[in-house]
Amino acid sequence: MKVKVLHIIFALILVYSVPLHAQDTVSKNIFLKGITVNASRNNENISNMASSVDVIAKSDIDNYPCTSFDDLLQSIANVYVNRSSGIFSRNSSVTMRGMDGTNRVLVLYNGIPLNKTSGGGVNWDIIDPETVEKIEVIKGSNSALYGNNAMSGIINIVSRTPKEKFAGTAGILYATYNTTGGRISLSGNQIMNNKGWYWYANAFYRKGDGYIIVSETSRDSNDTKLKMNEISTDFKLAYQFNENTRISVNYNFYHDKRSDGIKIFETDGSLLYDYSNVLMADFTTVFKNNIDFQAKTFYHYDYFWQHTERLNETGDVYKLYDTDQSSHDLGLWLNASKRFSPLYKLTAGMDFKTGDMKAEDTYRTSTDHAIRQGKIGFIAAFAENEFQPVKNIKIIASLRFDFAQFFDGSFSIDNPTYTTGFATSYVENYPSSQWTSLSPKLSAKYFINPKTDVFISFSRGFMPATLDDMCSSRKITKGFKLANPNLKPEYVSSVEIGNTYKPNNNLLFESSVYYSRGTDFQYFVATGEFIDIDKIVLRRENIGKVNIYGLETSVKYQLTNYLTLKANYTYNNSEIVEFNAVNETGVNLKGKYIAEIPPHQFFIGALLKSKILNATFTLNYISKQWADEQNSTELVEHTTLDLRLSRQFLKRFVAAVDIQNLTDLQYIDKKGGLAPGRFIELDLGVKF
Amino acid sequence: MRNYSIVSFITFLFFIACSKDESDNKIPPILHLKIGNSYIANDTAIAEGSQITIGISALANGGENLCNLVIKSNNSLSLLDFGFNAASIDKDFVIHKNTDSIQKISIIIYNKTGLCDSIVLKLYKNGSAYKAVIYYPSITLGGQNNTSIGSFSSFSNGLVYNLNDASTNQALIDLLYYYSVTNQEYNCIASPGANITGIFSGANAPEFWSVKNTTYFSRTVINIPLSSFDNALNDSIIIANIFSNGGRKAKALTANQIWGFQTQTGKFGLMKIINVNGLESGTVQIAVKLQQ
Repeated sequence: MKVKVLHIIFALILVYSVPLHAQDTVSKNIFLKGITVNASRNNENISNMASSVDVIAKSDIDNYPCTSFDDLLQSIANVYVNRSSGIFSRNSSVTMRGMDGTNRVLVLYNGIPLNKTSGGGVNWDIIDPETVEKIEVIKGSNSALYGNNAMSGIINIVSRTPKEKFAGTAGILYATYNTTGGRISLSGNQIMNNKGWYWYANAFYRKGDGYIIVSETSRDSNDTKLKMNEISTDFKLAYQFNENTRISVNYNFYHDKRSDGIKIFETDGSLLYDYSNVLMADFTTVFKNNIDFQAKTFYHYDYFWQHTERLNETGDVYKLYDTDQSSHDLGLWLNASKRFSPLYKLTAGMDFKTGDMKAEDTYRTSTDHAIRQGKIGFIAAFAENEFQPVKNIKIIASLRFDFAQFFDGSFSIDNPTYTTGFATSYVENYPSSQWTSLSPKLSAKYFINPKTDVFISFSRGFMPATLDDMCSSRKITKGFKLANPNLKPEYVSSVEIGNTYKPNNNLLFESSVYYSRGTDFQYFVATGEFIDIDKIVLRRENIGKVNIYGLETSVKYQLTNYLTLKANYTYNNSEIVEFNAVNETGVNLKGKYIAEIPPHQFFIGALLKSKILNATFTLNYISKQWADEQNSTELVEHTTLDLRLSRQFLKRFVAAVDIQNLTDLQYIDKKGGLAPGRFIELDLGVKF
Repeated sequence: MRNYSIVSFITFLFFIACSKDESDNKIPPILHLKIGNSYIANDTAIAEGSQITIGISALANGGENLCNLVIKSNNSLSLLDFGFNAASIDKDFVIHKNTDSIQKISIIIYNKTGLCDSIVLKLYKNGSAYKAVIYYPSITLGGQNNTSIGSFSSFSNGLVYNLNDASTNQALIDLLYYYSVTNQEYNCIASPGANITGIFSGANAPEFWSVKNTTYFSRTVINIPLSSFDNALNDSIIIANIFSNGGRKAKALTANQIWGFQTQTGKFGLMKIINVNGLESGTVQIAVKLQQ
């Protein structure tokens, strides 16, 4: 039956791949000619950038199989997206260039950072794919422009600008696991003679009954479904003073309520509530002396409450505890650029950012009460020179100086018991610490001929420790994490050579090879202790040196005006080559591979757009990878097939079906949980 | 203007739809001490080391569920920290009189919101009831690939058994030793009841045993200097370190650790790790003191 369904779907694709009178064509511009990349801090034309750059355009965003924003990133070479429970995952891990951790990828929304200072991560769910105009991905270290987080790359999400005086869309969805939802989007543009307001307001709601992530053979009566209930809203109001000057304010809000799949005594079992708020303002102008100026300011407020109950393996130890955590980030980014001549451009700027976190763990089944908190501040200045010494060569040299200070860090515990493993009540105030870093980047691009160019770059990245790693002793998926207030920044130096080859107007080859050496690399190390009977105690430490080398290669082929094929392959070898951390068990991680990095990834995508049907088919191969730092548990390789079919009818209506994991592949994720299997979403929308 | 109103209204609906479920039930629980010949009463004189049975019953009384029962000695040492989740509890607990001339036993019951009720028992010392311990000064166990030293032992006799002999004496075996990096167990002493699979091979492997004694181990609550272990002549130090939440494995063993244990028959003891040598073919040497 399963095979029959697949055959029918493929037959439909083949039938409809013969375009009749196409309304539109796919990826009209696979070379992205003329597209500027805002993530470069000075709106650089993509063809001039001496880096490995990918842009996902609006037409692709609308047609890729996607139930969460980060699904879109799977189509890009050397970006590894891990959302193992699909929409029922609390969050997604997005990593690049052979380095683990989302905190090593800088994520921007209209050029404003979404990474949280508390843990370095990003709440991807705050972005509704419907509101995105394009996604820019710059791979490799870009600390020379952006400082911390930009260790392995940058992802800039650009929201759309309304074109019509007043427009709106509304839609409903129904999906596997009794998932239902709806969205509404309103927008307006009152700009006349380059002056006026534009705005949009979006709201999205989705809830689902979820599934049990424990395999049937290991399931017990305490395992329940991963229920989910989420809403997000996104408001933008902008005023354009003239062609070059505008100011905008953006507010994004996201809230979800999720169960974590365990229910013992509590009515709703273990639960998590998340509230994320991001307020952003952006001012752009061009001064009379042709200086482009940008000022961006942002405020993040995140709060989560987690209610957890657990029963041990033998069923005789029960725990119930609550975690309340709040964090704030406040920042101001300023930069200006001036093109002095067609051959020379200078960009300079300053960044200010401060962040704090405070978390309380209150145990209901014991007397333990722990508070962990800390603050961090950053100040930085940077400059970038872009010049063309000869006609076919472009050189870009950047340098950034960062100063960071950690302060007001503390950990306290009242009335501890065996649950937290602390012997007595105590308060520890962590000493403040400061770091500085100089992050250079030198890159050159040589335009060999109109069809071929090649670039080379050297860069040094910098990342201070996160507040959570420095201040928080708490339970994590891997075990029990001990705070390490002495954690130092890590540095990564990289060399990269890449090229682009366009043999004809329909074909594009891009490839890149790189070598990175990380020093004082931050990584989890087991201390050799156990807490709470069998929880491994870990601490993030500066372990020493890692070597990462790899390559990425991609091809885009516009077969007809209606059909585009994309494929890419990624190889990464990420190995610990020097291990200086000392732990009780004496386990030396030298020679081990970095966990959660698949050495091989492969992607194929086919996008068809015709009057009758739009169809996108994708294949993602993820090779075996180590699940743990000791390289003792290996996750099996897996290949998933996704499909999206959509059709516009009666002018205003759009119907779509998204099928993720078409073959219903069951695989185990890094936490030992089952993937959700085949997930089918039906969407019906109307435009007005 | 109408459009802004629609958006504002939708936002308002979303905000009110996502409030956290927090209880405002402020009714505290009620705790009762059981009375009778089986239970200790307030102001009783009793020999140090004697077993005391405390019987309690508690009710949520219309408030939030009961979640935590704590028994403390002299308001500091936690003798029991029991987590649960129920509207009532009726339970008996066994503790031992310590060496203090006057010992205050505090019994506190907490509900989910932290509200509590408590009772204090005052006990007086009257003589001593401590007993001598069984002492095995050196037991050396081999890893699962060690061909000359067995991996299994019994607290009943302190002898070491190889896999085949252990299989024929399953009822005697209380602990086994192996090395594994899985789950970062490393050098690990476990009880047969820990369902050890894939470590020992063949038909005699513990996973196929019909009798699997479960020994519980605890290190988290044991905080004893090595000299106290070495000098202990009676079971006072064991009784002072009785634990209520143990695991079936003692993982990541290193020299000079002290672990508490409780046998399948309910007897408590202490285990000192003398040395640890190697991996799957290595050895671990331990000393054991346990209640008679």
